This record gives sequence, C-alpha cells and structure tokens, in this order.
Amino acid sequence: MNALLLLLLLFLLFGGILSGAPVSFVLIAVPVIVAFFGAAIGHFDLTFLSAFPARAFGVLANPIFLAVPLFVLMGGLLERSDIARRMMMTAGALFGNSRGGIAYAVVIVGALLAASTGIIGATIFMLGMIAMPAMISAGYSKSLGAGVICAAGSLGQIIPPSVLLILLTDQISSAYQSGRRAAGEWAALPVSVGDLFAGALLPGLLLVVLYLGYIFFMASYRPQSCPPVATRDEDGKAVRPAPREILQSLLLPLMLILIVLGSILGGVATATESAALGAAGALVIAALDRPGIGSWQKAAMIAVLPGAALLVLVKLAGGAQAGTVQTVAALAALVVVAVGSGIALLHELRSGNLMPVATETARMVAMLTLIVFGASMLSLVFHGLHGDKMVQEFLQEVPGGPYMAVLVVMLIIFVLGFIIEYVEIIFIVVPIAGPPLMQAGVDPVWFAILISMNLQMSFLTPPFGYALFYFRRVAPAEVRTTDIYAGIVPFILLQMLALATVAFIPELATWLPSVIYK
Amino acid sequence: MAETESQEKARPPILSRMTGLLDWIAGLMVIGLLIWQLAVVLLRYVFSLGAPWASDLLTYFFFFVVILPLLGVLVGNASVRVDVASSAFGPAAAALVDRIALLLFAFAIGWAAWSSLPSTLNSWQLLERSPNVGGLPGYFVLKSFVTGTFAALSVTALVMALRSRPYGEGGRA
Repeated sequence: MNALLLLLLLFLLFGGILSGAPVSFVLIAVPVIVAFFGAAIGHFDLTFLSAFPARAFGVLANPIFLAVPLFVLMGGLLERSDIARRMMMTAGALFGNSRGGIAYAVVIVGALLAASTGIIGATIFMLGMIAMPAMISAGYSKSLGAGVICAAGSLGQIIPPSVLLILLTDQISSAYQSGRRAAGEWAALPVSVGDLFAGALLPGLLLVVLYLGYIFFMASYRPQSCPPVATRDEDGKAVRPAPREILQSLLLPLMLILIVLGSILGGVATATESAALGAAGALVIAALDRPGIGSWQKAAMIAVLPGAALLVLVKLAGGAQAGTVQTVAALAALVVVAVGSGIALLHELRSGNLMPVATETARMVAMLTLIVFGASMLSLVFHGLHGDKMVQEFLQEVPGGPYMAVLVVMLIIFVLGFIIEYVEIIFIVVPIAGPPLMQAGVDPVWFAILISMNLQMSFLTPPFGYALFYFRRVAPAEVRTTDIYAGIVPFILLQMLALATVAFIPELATWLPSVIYK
Repeated sequence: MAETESQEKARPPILSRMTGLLDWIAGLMVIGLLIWQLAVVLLRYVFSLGAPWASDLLTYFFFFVVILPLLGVLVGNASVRVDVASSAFGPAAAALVDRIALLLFAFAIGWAAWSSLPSTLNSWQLLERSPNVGGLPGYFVLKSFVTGTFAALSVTALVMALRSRPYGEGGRA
C-alpha cells in the first residue's frame, strides 16, 4: 500500500508541476493531500507531518542561509550597476584583436561574473546583447558564439560564491551526518559552505580551461570560425580602453572577487561574513558609477576595497592582536572600510537605488524559502511512507557498489534538471539519496560537486536548458535555434569530460578543502 | 505591460498595498542584516569582539527578511512555474489550474498553521528566548510570526481561489 501511495505522490507531484501551477504550492500541497488520504484509509500516521512547523522554523533560523540574501544583494547591486557591460567592453577591446579573442574574453568575463554576481540569466543577457552582435558582424560562426556565451554564462552555478552551493551545503551536511550515524560513526564533522566553495574552485577552473582550450583549438584549426573583432560601442566607435577604464572595469571587480573568495578560502571568514564584505564592495562599485559624487567621496569609496583586502590580510597574518603592525593596519582598515561603505550606503539609499534591490533580494529569498518549505514537507511524507527505506534498499542493490549508485543518482538528477529547478532537486534528492550513499562511504564534498556540475550541465542541455532559453530571448533573430543547439554540443561534451574527470579524480574536489580546513 | 496593469486592477488594492509595505520592511531588514554583519565582521577582526546576542540579531534579521515577503510572493504571482507542458493552455484552463492549486495550498498551509499553534502557545508561556546561551529574548515573537504568516497565507490563498481569475485577466506573468 505504501508503494501505491508513493506512486500517487510522485504522479500528483509531477502532474502538478507540469500543470504550470506554482511549484512551491504543489510541493507544499500534494504531500499533505496524500498524507491525509493515506491517513483516511489507515496507511499513514499524521504525526509525521506534525514535525513540519519545527522544520520550517529551522529553515528560518538556520545560520547557513544567512549568506544567501547577502550574496543575492551583492549580485543584484552589481547587476544594476554598469560594471558587467563595461567588463565585457574592456575585455573585448583588450583581447578581441586576435583570432578567437572575443570568445576568450566571453569565457573570462563569464567566469569573473560567476565569481561576483553569480546571476546566470543576467550574465547571458549581457553577453548575448554585447558580444553576440559583435561576433556576428565580424563573421564568427554563429554556433560557436552561441555555444560559448551559453556555456560561459552558466558558470555561476559552479564557480563560488554560488547560492546553489550554499543551499547544497545544508542538505549535504545533514545527509552526511545521518549517513555516518547509520554507519556507526557518531562524530562526523559537519560540512561547511567553505568546504563546498573550496571544493568547487578547481572543477570550476577546469571548466574554464577546457572552454578556453576548445576556443584555442577552433582558432588554430578553423580560423574562419572566429576572426578578430573590433569591439565597438553603441555609436559604432571602436573602443580603446584607457588605463583608468581598465582599472575600474576589471580591477575593481577582480579585487572584490579576491576579497570574497580569499577570505572564505583563506579560512578567515565564514561565508556570511565574506558575503557582507562582498555586498559592501558591490555597493561601492555601484555608487562609484553615479554622477555628482565629490572627488574625496570617490576616493573614500575606492579605498574600501583595498581596505577590506587589508583587513583579510591582517586576519591571515594572525589577527590584529598579533603585533603592532597588525594592530595599526587593522585599525586603519576598519576606519577606511567603515567610512567608505557608509558613504556608499547613504548615497545609494538617498538616490533610491538601494531599496529596490534590497526589496527584490528579500522577495527572491522568500520565494526560495517557500520552495524549501515544500521540499521539507515532501521529505516528511516521503519518510512517513517509508520511501527513504525503499530508495536506500534500491541504492544498496545497484550492482557495482556505491559508485554505480552515485552514477544512477547522477542520471536521475540530470533528467530531473530538465523539468525542475536546482532548489527542488537539492532539497528533494539529496535528503533521500544522500544518507545511504554517505553511509556507504561516499565523500560528501565530492558528491556535492558532482551534483552541482551535473546541474550546470542540465542548464545547457537542449531542449529544456534554461541557459538556452535566456540566450534565445536576447540573441539576434538571424541566430537560429538550431545554431544554438549545434553550438552548445561541444560545450556539453566538455562538461561531460569535466564531470568524468572529477568523478575519476575525486581529489580535484576534495584536495583543496582538506588543505584549507584541516 | 497591459498584463501587469490588468493584474494590478484585479488585485484588491489594500492587499497589494499591504504586501508592498511588508516587502519594503523586508528590504530594510536586508540592509540591516548587511550593516550588522559588516559591524560584526569588523569588530571581530580588529578587536576580537563578539557576543552571542550579536549573532542572534543576525538570525532575527534573516528571519524577517524571509517571512515578511511570503504574502507578497503569493499575491504578486512571484512563484516559479514550469511552463514546458502548460504553455498551450488557454487563460481559462490556466486560471482553473491556479484555483485548484491555491485551494489545495490554502488547505495545506492552513493545516501547517494549525499544527504550529501548540508550540507557539507553549513558547509564549515560557516567554522563550533564543536557545544560544547569552542570546536574545523574544523567540516567542518569531514563532508567532510563523503561525500568523501561515494562517494569513491560507486565508489569502482561499480568498484568491474563490475568484474566477485569481491572477487577473491576463493570466500568468
């Protein structure tokens, strides 16, 4: 009977999601309906459901999630500033004159935006609107241009800081602890956001290198597919970036990335703390663009980024108490950061730019949370119907041991990735499939990185890849959908190659966290 | 544009004004979270200062960042939908799907509000504080917000489900 109820649950769930109803409503309502139906026919114990309010409260008071609004705010501020467009213009002008140059620039800018804004839709829109027309008018292969933009624009999923990795941390950590408990190990350490950020760094860079290598290959063997491009602005004038422009459009974001990733990966800040530093930096970058700012205010704001970097360095050098030099440097940095970000904050508040981004951030996080509520309702009912036991038995019986089981889970996630978004996948699949795999000794960081690379791949895979939808919306009309599909194929193959590499060399994901967080 | 306008009209103005206010307060909470977290980082880095209540305050900020806009997500049609299969539906069919979904959602979240009530009442009796030693008081207020928000979501979803076009004539955003 439980199996029938589980089938009913799955059927209603997918039916509901595909009906176009809001996913979070379906995720919250369907499990409750099935539970009440099961209780009415005497096959479900409603006390399983009564854990929901406590679970929901746990989500709202979970310190891991604190980093999410701050990173979303940081991304939103940078997205609304002009920085992304100028980064692409500058990088295009710097690299575009060589063969394949603008494609390299797209990959590099995509990676930089992934490490700063992390907003995939906005990145693909921007690259599609700025780089694609330039590529077409220079005679680039349309499919190469489309493929490189979709692939580079989706790097935000895997390159930290990524909201996906933060949400995944929470679920992987509890799956790991319950899996290890089941294996008789009571002292398994929790997995931290820093672990996953560190774990994702090398696989993310691997992808970037593979993309760049592919462009190099095309530039060498199919030079006609990627001729040199002169980057022009909206008026058709060739862009020649002045050193100051390069500084402001490439170095400031680069510094921001170094502060955020450096402080997390250096082990001196939690993800939330570095997110706050990053959001302050983003505020400054956004405020610097506004007209009518006095020069001393500008100087005070620009000083925030080196100030924050100095603070991180002091912390790396043993903290403010370690010596006189450190104390003086830390105090100076404190004043610089406080004054500069205070000016930026006041300026953005008064000009009316900050509140809309902050409100949008809150709405976005609330929307995510509603989905998380639904997923926890679903996992309670799934548990009440003993679905987790069935999955566990199934995964243990997969021939070939735990690693074949991981492969099966990856295939399921890949297929699910077409239909539903990563949040649902993380909060549904990981709590169900995670514990038995962790019990069998699968490394949590490795497993998490495989999941996120996999999810990124399903972002790119036709016909339902979100990246392709985003790109289609801004791509010039002469780029046919078949061009996009043809262009994305080599990048999906590269992605599979990267996934297989990390699968067979787990150290790519596990080495960095083990060095940093010993 | 026409769609948004018809949606604005279809929505009871008081409700959308209220959710607008809640969203705005949540936005302030985001800024509060940023400022407070920045202060905590700086003080910890430079003076090695930190207190349990300071990190509790961050959690409180986060709590309100998340819980206040929930009503607006419901009313403003901000939830994620998958339209791979349903894009062929006409407005009537789409509205019917929405009404059924809202009705079932109202039931489920209403039940969640009801089942959270005992622990919230209990929390009031104890005037529950944050579980961290040296943490902030007022945990019972947070718990009341959970119960209250779930109840408000349920009632609002029910009222919306009773209308023939819950999200206005334009159908879905």
